[in-house]
Amino acid sequence: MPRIELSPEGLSREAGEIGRRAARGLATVRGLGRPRPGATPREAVWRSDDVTLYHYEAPSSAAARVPLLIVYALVNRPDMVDLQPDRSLVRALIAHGFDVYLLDWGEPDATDRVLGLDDYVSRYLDAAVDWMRAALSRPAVHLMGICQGGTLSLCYAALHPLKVERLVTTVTPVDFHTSEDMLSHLVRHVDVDALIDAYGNLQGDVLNALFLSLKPFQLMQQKYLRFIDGLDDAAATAMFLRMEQWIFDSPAIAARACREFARDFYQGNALARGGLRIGLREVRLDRLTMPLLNVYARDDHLVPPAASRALGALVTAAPYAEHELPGGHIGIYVARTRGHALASVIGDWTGAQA
Amino acid sequence: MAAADDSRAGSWQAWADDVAAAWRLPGHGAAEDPVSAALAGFARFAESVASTGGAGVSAQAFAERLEQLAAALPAALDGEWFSLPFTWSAAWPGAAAEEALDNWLATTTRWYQQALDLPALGPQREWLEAGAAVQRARLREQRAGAALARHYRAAIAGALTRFAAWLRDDDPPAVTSLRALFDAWVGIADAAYREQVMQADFSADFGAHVNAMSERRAAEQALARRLADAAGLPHRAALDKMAEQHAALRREIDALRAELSRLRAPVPAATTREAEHADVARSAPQAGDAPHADATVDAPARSAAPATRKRAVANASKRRPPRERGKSQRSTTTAARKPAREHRGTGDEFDIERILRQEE
Repeated sequence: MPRIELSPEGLSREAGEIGRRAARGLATVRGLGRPRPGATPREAVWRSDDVTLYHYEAPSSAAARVPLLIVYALVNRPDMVDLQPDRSLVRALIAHGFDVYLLDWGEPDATDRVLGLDDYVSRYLDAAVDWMRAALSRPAVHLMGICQGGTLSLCYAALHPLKVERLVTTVTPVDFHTSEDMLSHLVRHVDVDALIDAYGNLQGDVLNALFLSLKPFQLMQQKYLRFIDGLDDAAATAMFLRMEQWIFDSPAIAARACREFARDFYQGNALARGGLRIGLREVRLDRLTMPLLNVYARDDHLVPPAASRALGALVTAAPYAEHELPGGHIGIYVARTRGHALASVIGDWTGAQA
Repeated sequence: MAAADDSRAGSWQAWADDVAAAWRLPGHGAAEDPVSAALAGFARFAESVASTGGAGVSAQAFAERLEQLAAALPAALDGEWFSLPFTWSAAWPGAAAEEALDNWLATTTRWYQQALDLPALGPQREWLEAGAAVQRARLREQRAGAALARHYRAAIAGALTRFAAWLRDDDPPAVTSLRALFDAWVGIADAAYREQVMQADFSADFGAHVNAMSERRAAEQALARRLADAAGLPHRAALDKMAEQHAALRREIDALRAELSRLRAPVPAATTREAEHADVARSAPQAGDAPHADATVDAPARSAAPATRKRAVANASKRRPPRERGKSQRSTTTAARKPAREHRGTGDEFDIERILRQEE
């Protein structure tokens, strides 16, 4: 039996302290203004419909740098990679010698519901890659995919292998039927066609609710009490607010793309099992030839490590390396810029490949 | 910060209400404000802890309290225990009332279903059919929701039972603050919830509920479409058709644009069919692909010749600078940059209108 040392006086003191901290924090929060994610100057260099290719400013000659295109997921916005100066994957990658580009998928509206994975992979992503190849006079570029963006990058690299010099996948689901995959378990019996026919684009709020439901007590209760705990620290509070804005500022997913991803990946597990088609073409991971680094997070509750690590067995024709990082699905990206572990892993691997 | 209700004065809930009221932003209700909701939940937790103790809280007494709550579910969920994310399912009755309600529902639903299954007659029969379809779908959604709520209740009961077991553990760490106790509860509750969710029948019932929602919405949309037709308004199917046609045109334009860029590019020494096999030589810079063509060349669409580049830069400089976000920036052209660094192309090689003008 545990020793619980809680007296009525102690409970009152604790309540009072939480109340005072919350009240003080209110002033802190009001003084911070509206959080604005984004730390590194960037320029929109290419655009098609809602999809934008950004280029981040680098301090020294970009010519000698390794161009790296970050491909984000269709879920959430990509602001998380450059949250604030001291928590920026982009800055850390620049410090490691990369010339960083980012593909922002935009915000699909009702007229975009007809966009499928073929549009995203073989039209928008391909056109952005072509733009980079032309602009940089290179036959191929380095791709880095984040979460679902990693899955899309794998598909792209398999379909267009000559345009990808190296591929880095991070917290990327490949096998969608691992035993720990809660999202996949929830989606298993959903009639995806009926859902998409009825609801159209999958709204960001619905996705947010789904993600919150994976750890409801932690994400809907404990998280906000911890926020109150840190209210005396203005910097920590500002970061929390930026993260909060990023988490819930979620675009919808275009209906057709959502249908295809849920049906073919989550339910059919076709990327791992084989037989996946994007447009008219089959995606075969055994045809990947470029060096590939697969990074996963040890404590990832959205994409369990096993779901990512399955890639190793499927890539048979390419030099393959994988790396485990401590942390969760988001934590590995919003680590401190100085000594950013993910950027270091990618930088070291790229240097070793060169 | 005084409690509004004297009977609750000095209680944790009153404290949480006061703090939450101070925190709440104007225009934000409690349901929209997660900080207030978290405080209220913490207060309910604290009240449960405090209610077990006199001079102090004993693990034994608290464990017994939790077991009582687990046994009394779902009544215990109704305000006394903190119940996220299952608040809505707390409205569903407990096991004792459930059987009676099930019987009642079965009977009334049967009558209702029989009425809904009657063939519609008369000049309004199609309207009646559409309305009945909505009602039938709502009944199915209600049943599916009830089945899912039972899982949520089981998850809460499992969490309480596990927490009690943890309190009765022989060798747990000492707990010296309410927050530490709460944090322990959160970890245990999420684990219990996960265990429930990962059961096969949860997945089946979750899917059934989502499917029932889809079915209900589709029935409502069919009715709305009928109304829109009657009112001479466009409905979603018509808009979808237009969007599909628009997207098809955009795909075609993009393919043409890529083809034109390729044709205008300085042609490399050779062209190569897209690599379909892993053993294609990766070193060939001119090899590659295009998204919708079986065999294409893959020369990077290089920036145009210097004269063209100069003109393109001039064109680009006249454009509005791109904003970070917003539909107003939707564009059918792809160039969106200032005249800038020399290492980058202009983007004008993808400007279909300019290319077509030049072709003329």
